[in-house]
Amino acid sequence: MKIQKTCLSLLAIGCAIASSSAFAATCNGTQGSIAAPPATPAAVSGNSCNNNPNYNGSTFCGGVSFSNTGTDVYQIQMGNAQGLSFTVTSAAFTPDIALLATSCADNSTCTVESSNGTGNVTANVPNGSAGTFFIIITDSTGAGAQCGAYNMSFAGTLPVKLQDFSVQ
Amino acid sequence: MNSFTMKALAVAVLGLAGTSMAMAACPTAVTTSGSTTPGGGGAWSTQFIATDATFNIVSPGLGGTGCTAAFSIGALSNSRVFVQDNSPAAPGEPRYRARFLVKLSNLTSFSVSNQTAIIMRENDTTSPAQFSSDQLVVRIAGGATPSIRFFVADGNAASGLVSIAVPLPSSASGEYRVETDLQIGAAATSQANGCTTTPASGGCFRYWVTDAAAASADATPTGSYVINNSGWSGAKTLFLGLTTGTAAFRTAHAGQTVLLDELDTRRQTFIGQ
Repeated sequence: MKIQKTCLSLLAIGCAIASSSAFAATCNGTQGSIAAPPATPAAVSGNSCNNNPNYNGSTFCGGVSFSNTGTDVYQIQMGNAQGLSFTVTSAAFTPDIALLATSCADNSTCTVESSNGTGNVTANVPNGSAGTFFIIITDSTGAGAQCGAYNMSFAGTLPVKLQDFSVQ
Repeated sequence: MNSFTMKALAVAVLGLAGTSMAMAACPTAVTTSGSTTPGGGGAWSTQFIATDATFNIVSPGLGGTGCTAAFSIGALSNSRVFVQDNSPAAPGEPRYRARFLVKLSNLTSFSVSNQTAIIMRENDTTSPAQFSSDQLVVRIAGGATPSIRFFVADGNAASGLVSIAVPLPSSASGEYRVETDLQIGAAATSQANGCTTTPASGGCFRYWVTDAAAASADATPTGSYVINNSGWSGAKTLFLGLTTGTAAFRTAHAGQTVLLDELDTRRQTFIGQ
């Protein structure tokens, strides 16, 4: 059987675009909040196994796979024109890290996403507008443990900011 | 259902051109940006090429054939290029098999797992409101060993999807055959490798990922998954090409072609080589 039907170009384009944004999986819960710069801690340790199973099977940042065995999420409140970089190191899995804006839904705006195929990866978050963001720690390889213990460290990229000023 | 008729067209063009040519003469692709209907002289329903993407038909083809389709996307976030088949029956096929060949050797340093792009999608007319209407998405993903990723609609999963990663096997030619068999139906519990044989009813996804030169058999899929996709209406539209790529893919592989060939779709019978 061979049937050819005419498809309007707009329909075709719409189909292609709609597929990536029609639904959202949100995190089951965060692993905590990270203080914004300059109070950001030097490092945080965790273990991603079995966390946020809502993400299993889904993707983030335009198609990057979540781990099927566990993903960690941290909330961070960023100020206006504040940026930072964060580094995740793990011997148990290959970290793929990201910063999502506004909510922890898998289709939230992807501020930054990074992986390099090793156990040590850094994401640099440029200075931006104030708001709530979510740090994602997962493994997109689809192979191996895809979760485990890790350490996350931070480095601020703070703008010059007047902390105290008075005129007597 | 439909099979792309690129090979038949290639033979016809070769015949017109004579037999003295050393290389097969391939059909001339419409390479202009935007949507073209029908596509490939009627071989597919329509095609779309974004302004920074490319589509062409080049020689040699995959699987020992004369010609293949070549797709590349650019750096723009909405870059995409695909051919589209609308021939599945409305409202959708309750069981849908698809097979194609793919070659990734033009992707230099395809080495990190966040470099991923969709090469095939099966889209349904209706689905649960909270989930995508794609019953199946097939991605390529980079890595030390690149992989094929299947994202299969599953109402039992919170995300509406199960994902399956299959590392590409060794291949002397760098050509791989991907075949899928997806049946719409209910399942109380989803289970990996739970339906090596497709049951008379119930949601089941079976898949084969092999070297293009290797034989495959209906009874021995690479893997399977019992799924609950009763909320989806069945495949109505198929997209083949590069329908989207992640930022990492677009950055690393802008302008590099993925070769896709020998697409065949059926309702019941195994396709194989």
